[in-house]
Amino acid sequence: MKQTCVRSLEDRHTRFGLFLGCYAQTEQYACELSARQVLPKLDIDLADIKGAACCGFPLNSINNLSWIYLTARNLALCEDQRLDMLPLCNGCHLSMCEVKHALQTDPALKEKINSILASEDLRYEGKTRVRHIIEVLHDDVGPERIQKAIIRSMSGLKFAAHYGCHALRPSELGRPDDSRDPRKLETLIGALGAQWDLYPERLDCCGAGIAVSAGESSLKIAGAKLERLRASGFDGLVTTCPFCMRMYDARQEAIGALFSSATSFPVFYYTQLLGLCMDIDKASLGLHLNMSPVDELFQKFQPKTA
Amino acid sequence: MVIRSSDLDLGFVQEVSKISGEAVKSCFQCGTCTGTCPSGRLTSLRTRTIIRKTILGLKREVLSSPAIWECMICFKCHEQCPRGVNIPTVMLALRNLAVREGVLPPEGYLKMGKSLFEEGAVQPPQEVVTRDFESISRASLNLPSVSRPADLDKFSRGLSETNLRKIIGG
Repeated sequence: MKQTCVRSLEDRHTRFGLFLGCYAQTEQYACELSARQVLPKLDIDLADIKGAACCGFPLNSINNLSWIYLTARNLALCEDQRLDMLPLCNGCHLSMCEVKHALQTDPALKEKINSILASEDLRYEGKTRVRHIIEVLHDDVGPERIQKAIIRSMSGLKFAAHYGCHALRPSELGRPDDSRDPRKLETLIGALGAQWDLYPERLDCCGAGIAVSAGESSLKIAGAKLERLRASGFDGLVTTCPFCMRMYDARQEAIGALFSSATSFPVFYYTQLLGLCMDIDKASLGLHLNMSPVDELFQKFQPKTA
Repeated sequence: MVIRSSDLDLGFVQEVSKISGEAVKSCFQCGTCTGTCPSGRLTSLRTRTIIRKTILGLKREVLSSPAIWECMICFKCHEQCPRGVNIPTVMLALRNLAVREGVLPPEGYLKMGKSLFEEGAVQPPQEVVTRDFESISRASLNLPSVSRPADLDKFSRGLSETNLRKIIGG
């Protein structure tokens, strides 16, 4: 009998097309650096999606069809390259899910999009599975395998989780975690041996959505959370989304200039903390690129230097 | 506030419902949206008022209002709306309509649109600084080159078919 290619039960490798979107690959480099370091160590293989462009989310404000086209184009590229998709940004992930839903329920729109995609010899059918990094780490890999993969513990440290709006809402579309009481990111923090706690501002928006139209207000929204966390006994804020990270970390100096009280507070990508526990050196995880005072953590947790 | 019948466009709410796919008229003005809005605490956005004016047909007033650009699309109001209206999607429809009517959107959106045609991305890779103020480029981090459309001309042509070039004026 001809030997068929059956995946062994022990072979838990999964493969995703890594969708980087805009900020992750043009300024939030630590997001991509740390994801590329830790995910393969958990048997998640990453492929590049050839020809990928912006997810289009920002353009939805000025022209709905441009957004749908750009998102569908990225999904069609994945289909063409036979890849499932792993977007690192919450906004990209929501875009993919919303557009998949829209094109499934509106065949006329799907045909219109396909007629435009034809100029690049692409066709959208809707076969690409889209997974959020929190789902991959929590549901696919799971906290037990993370515990086995790490060699150092973050016990004695306490972190606050920030999911970001689009990882939780709109709930009817099916998001990575429960919109009212999510726990997956906290569970993942716990898998590193660290403590976590809930806090009143946990589900609040980072403010990035109005960075373009009302810059100062968006900084104040991000700053309000940092101010509360500063006073609350946490060692750091943890997120996976580059858009949220950009607000809480990269814009922290600008936020500080607007607030009279202290808003300076360490902010990390979850994949950076996971990498530290795998004893990966700081620079490989992009920890020199965090603009918030992350060195405060290193007084309690001595990371490997290159 | 005096509302004159000459200011009303009675088809406006249908137009917004059609574009957004949302039953805007089912709003019974409870105000939960305004109460949950994290933007409205700091900006001019009063969600309930925008919805009410839309239902009344105050098209010109709604579409020229800066408030429709101050929604963060965070979906907090949508999760709480007892009538199940996806309000952020309504806000996006209002912005789309405003642009169609000639309202100039915040500059950042136009910049992103222009960059898409030129770079295939909303911005090219930026030089960033470390905490120690050392300048760092994407290339120096040993990351692969950024992903962009293989044929920028074909990509731009596709994007033009969605009417984007006309909107950003180039």
